[in-house]
Amino acid sequence: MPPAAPSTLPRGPCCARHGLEDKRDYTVVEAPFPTMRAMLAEKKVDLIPGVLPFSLDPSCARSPGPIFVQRDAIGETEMIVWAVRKPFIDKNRAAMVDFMEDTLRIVRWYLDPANHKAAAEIAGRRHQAAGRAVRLAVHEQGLLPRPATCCPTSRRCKGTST
Amino acid sequence: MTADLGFVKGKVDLTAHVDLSLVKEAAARIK
Repeated sequence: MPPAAPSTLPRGPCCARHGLEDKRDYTVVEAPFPTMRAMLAEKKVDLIPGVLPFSLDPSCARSPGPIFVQRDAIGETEMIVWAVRKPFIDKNRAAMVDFMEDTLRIVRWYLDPANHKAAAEIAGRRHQAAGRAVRLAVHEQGLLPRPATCCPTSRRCKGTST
Repeated sequence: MTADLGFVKGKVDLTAHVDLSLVKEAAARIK
């Protein structure tokens, strides 16, 4: 992963808290998320970020296990957000509301337990490398990491609604 | 935390920059 990828953010503060410094005490290696599990299993790396849905792969559970969780390192977060500049919203608000309406409809469809089988099939096709993990997450565990409201759940990010 | 991560020097109040009215307007249409 790139050194500045969001999933790397917890590593820095957590390692620093334990006196570990990048380039002095450890080396960061960039790799695509789908390959990280194998790199850990083959002992090419000692630590990987457990990012959904890859972290749900049963073979990941057989690894030594989590050293720390993101919340412990940097607190409550909203890792992936959509942000738009106000002038763009002011100019295109009607289209943006239409877009969000479509987004809310599809998110609710994906989160509806009645659609989990179809959702898992779609997700598995879209993410072939992680298809098994995605199917497990969506179908068997009923897990999709986003709220049906498409609004942040972190109290730090809730903001205003005016 | 934003300062700890090195992105900005001071503190940032995210709530001052968040406006969810667009999302809530869209949600109201489909209720």
